[in-house]
Amino acid sequence: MNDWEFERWLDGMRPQLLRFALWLARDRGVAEDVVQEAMLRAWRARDELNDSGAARAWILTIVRREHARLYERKRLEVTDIDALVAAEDPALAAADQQQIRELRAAILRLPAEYREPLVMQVLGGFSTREIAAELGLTQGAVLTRLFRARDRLRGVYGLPSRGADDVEEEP
Amino acid sequence: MRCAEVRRRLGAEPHASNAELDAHLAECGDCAAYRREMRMLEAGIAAALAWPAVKSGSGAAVEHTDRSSASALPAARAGTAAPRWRTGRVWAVAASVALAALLGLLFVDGRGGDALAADVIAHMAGEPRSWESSRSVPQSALDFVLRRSGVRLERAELGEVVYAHACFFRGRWVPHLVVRSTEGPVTVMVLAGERVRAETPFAEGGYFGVIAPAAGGAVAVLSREPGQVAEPLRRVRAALAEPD
Repeated sequence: MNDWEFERWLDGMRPQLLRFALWLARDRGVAEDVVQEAMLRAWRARDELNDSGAARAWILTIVRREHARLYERKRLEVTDIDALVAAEDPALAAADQQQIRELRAAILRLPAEYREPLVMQVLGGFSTREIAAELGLTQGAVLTRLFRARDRLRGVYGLPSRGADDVEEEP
Repeated sequence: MRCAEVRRRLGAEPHASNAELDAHLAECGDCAAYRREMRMLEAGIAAALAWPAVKSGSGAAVEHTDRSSASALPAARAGTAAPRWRTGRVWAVAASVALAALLGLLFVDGRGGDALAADVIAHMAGEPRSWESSRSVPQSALDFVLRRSGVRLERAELGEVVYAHACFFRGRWVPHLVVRSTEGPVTVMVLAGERVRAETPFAEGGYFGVIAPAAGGAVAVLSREPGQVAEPLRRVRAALAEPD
């Protein structure tokens, strides 16, 4: 990509980046700050992107690292998840969407150590090996966290827990 | 493979598949049921995460809207929407390259405005719809674009803004505005941080414009008709405040 192509691509990616950052940060303002800073970092590092097929994973990784760099230690607490969901999507009150809405709130309530790998896997398309490398964990630990995350969400779907607490996390 | 191992794997990766796993699932009804449940849950998780909605095209467009709707994102699932540079803008890229080359030949005054003009025209190719706007942009939407770009601008001096978009241009967020003038619509891009020494007129790609020094950097004003940018340029310069 030349600079112009890169610029257009990056601008077009912004909505996806904002969504990804929002799920990590659970705060619209923080997510926008993270994305803006990540896009500037990506621009400055654009010469490092040699494989256009890997561009999406590359920019999502920059967003995740930027979030970690700026905000992870602060562990921002969202005190009212329901208000956040309602503020972001007030049209989502239809009865057939209620279960999705509850699932969304449940994901937002997950501890960061479970929510982050889940978002990276489902939204970012990262493999468990890639998540492990990015988070500095073993692949086994990532599998455990993903299992525990989904096990906590089963209840929202009326499914019984299968005993996530019995699963030991690998180092 | 034991049931606990199978469920731990499927709980982490509901769509996992390999010979050993599949063999177990073929013989174990409980684990097969667990997989069905996890795949159902997975569809729900994917739907839940497909939020906020993402609209196609640039996410910073705020034409005729306020900040909340401006930042609403497309309905397509993240990851399924192909990047624009791979799908439909090949013509624009080709045109921009050709224009950039042509402009490089036309503007050789060494004042820095030539390359900038080429980039501005190339940028315009990506937003053809900007000219179609006719309704006034709400103040809140304009404020959002200006805040994102770090630009201070007095709207009363500028005139009626009918399009406002925060664009990523040369590594910065810049306001891309369309302003209604008595002669017709003109595009204004406030290029904070860019440096040009003198006004650099250009006429290419169907545009007639000028790049000029302004508070905090430079400004580009473009029209689709000749002789329409002088007065808008004067007003834009008057409207721009020096950055803090």
